[in-house]
Amino acid sequence: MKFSLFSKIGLVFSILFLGFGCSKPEFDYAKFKQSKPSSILILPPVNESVEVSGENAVLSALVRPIAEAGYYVFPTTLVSETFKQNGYTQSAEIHKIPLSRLDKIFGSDAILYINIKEYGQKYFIIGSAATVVLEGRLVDAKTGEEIWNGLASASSNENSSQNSAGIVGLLLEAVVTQVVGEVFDASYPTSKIATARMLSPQNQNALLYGPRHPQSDFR
Amino acid sequence: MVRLSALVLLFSLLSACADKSLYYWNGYEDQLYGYYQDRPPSELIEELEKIKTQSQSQQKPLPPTFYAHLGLLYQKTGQTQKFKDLAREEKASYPESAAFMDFLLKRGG
Repeated sequence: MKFSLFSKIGLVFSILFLGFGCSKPEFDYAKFKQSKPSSILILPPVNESVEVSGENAVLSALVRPIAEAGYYVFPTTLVSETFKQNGYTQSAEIHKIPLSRLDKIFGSDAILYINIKEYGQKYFIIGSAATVVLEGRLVDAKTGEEIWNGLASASSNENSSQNSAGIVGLLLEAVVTQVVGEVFDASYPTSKIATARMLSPQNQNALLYGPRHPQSDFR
Repeated sequence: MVRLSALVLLFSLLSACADKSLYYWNGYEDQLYGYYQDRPPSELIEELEKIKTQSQSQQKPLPPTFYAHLGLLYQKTGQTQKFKDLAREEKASYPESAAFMDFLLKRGG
């Protein structure tokens, strides 16, 4: 789908606005509660950015928030290998695989489809920042019904002026763990902020707590 | 106002992770990303085995995907039996994974 530059800017701004916790319509969890998934299969994300490394960075950043929400998460590296061995190398193709085929191999309760709308360095008049914008939908694997959708964005220069222990901590961590000589990549830690923002049940309109979490309603 | 709510969000996210996490991660999730950066499997295996050993003295269990991913790394270095053992460990710890683990075990790794 093609959007004009104006509506793209408008979309990004409204996503950023939403990402900052301003009031927004509450998500209707009726279908989610009916579905009660205990396991989630994260499919390799479709990457709409020009930064090829985005797919694996975001995929890796999705595991912890969903597991910590109380769901079983299928091992993403093995899942990718399985698709590769069956001739699927493109995420867009993978997203089109019929649910019955996925069910035969994985047996998951729900499938998570992620679209990376933006990933990588964004240049402004006064500098640049790593920017990650994600869109996701969760589908009941048996019925095919969409039970949740969400979006989130994050930027490496959020709160850069003060008290930004959180993002600075993550960025410092990234610097420390980078092998000397490699280019410092702020997009991966920024992805972690975006995925947590979109999915962690403490946030509004995110996933509900899954059955492995003590605060879950599904137990 | 906007900055404050973003700050609160960040801090609550981070403090929630630090205090009430379900699992023992110790950097494992970042290693998943390291897998895609052409780090040699043997190096990754060494790190994960360290985390595995450390986890034994922890209250919290290793997270979903850990055993299976470590198994994949062993498979990449030709150690198929270790892969199978770890796939079974994933299945035992997380029965939700049974269908997929059985699929992989049947296929012979």
